[in-house]
Amino acid sequence: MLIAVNIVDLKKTYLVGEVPIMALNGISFQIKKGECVAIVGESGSGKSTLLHILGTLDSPTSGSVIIDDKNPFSGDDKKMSQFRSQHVGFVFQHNNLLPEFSAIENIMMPALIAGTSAKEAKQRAIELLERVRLTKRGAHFPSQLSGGEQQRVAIARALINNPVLILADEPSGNLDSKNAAIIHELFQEINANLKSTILIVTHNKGFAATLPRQISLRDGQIYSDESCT
Amino acid sequence: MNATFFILYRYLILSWLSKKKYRHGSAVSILIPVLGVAVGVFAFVVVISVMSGFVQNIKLSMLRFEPHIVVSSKIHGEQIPHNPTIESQLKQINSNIISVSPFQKTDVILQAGNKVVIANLQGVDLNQNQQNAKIEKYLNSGTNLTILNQEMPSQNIENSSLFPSVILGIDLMDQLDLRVGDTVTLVSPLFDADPSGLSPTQLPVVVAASLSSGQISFDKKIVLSSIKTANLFLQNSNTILGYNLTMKDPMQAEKIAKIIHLENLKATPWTENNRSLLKALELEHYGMIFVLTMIILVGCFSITISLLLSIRRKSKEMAILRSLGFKQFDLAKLYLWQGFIIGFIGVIIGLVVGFITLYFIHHYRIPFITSSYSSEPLPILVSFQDISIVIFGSLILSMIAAVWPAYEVKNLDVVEILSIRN
Repeated sequence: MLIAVNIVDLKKTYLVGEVPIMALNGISFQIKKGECVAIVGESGSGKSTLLHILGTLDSPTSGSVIIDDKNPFSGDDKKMSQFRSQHVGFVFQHNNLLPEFSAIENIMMPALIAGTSAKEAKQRAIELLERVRLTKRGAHFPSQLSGGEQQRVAIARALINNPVLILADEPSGNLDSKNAAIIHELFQEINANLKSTILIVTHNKGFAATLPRQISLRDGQIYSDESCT
Repeated sequence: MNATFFILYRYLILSWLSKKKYRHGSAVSILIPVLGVAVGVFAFVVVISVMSGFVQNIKLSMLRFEPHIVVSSKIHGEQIPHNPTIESQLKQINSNIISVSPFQKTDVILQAGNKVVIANLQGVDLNQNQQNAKIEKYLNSGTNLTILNQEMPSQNIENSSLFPSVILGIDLMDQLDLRVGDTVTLVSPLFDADPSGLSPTQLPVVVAASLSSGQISFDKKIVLSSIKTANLFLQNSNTILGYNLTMKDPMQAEKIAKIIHLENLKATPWTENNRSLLKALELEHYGMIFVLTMIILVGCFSITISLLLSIRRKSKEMAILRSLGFKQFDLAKLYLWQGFIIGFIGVIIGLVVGFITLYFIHHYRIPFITSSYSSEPLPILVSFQDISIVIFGSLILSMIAAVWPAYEVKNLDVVEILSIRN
């Protein structure tokens, strides 16, 4: 099976004042294409840092990161941004939608940034709204949507450029159990139907247990890497 | 539509059209810098146009009686023969020259009874209708310059013989307590030797008309006569002091004076005699442009402040855009464009309001403005050059005002913002 993500001896050190803090300390793992992986761990274990590096928002101190056979850190900001736009989709805990844009415009935005025409972007956004079952809410602004609806829009936005990798940082952490369950289902459905590679950071042990693979981090290192199937 | 323009369209235009609760402060935050630039541009357009109007009025007032170019001997004050060939040569030099009139000029002492005043005698060519019409507007009613050809009896001397006629400025007449028809004696300030010793030349003349230009310095000094009368006083035969040239566009005088090359003659444009005043007016004009540009600059500072505040308010949105693939340079571009568009809208509003204001102050009497100047509406001169300066200057300053915010937004720490807020 093809490899979507290959990480070798990944280290990330932050300087807090003069003191170096090692957020990731030699992490290595591979994720196959189409795999859906839960990243679990305590706060400060390095989950978000890992996600930011995989999303090219942050760069590693050392080690190698290969996504879809490409090294995203080989170029300047322009190349990294292009890579992020074409290969990665983000879903954050607090949906992080743009408040001044309607739901459909939020979904269109990554496509417009990638250079897709407005007409095509809108067409794709309408299809994705259907997929996340929000067809009638496209013209609504984020403030008019419920938390669960906002998160579904954020998922649709992450999918619009057909990225190789979807990174979700506690996507249901801010939702009630009913809406959280809808979001979990949606991720599993997307994984099953679109064969997207998904990495979900979660504190929800129940949800993590439903995913085929769990990587547990502790103090910047892999504590366990278990396949549940 | 490009993502940058899509975002700009939403932030700067649609935010105004959307319902109030969806504006998220974008609409109001651009209103203040737009007004800042608009007020600066408005002030620039109105003040500089009124100033230019005043300067134009001063120049026109200077040119009311002043020849546009004077062609005279290279030796100061030297008489030259009146030569019609030179007149026609001068006319052919440039199509801008519309008339060439010979003139005589000298300082003179006027004596009436026991009153004596120093004045300026000007002998004018009575054949120059176009040129003379400018003066005739200011003569007392029903009079024209041809009266200077006539010899007249004095009204205040019984059985008087006929004397050459002159026209006096109204203030000069007041000083000498003269009325039209009275005799006045022209006395030369230079002394001539005659058998009885040294004595000044004297010529009694009759005041044929009065001249009231409204320019006191002129009306206090001017004595108009025919060239013949002036030469009679100067005891010259057929000489003149020079030629007065009138032009279609007096502002070209300096340029045209440079191309007049005649033997033993020099051409002096009107600007040379008024150089210090014109330089002062020019300096004032540039000083005013500088001050008004500073007002626009202050308006542009509000763009900087507004955009910096917008970065604080929208830092999360900017970080989201970066996570969606927006480049650092795209973010910088977004803010540079915002600066430019805010400046552009401000310039348009400032120009429109400025021109409307100019229309009103030029066409209507606004009591609290015009009362201190005159009863007429204010003079206006809209200069294409000045308006171009304000348009391009404002747009460039608006772009410069956005450079700092663009730099700040470019260097936003996306990870930190997303980590803190997420």
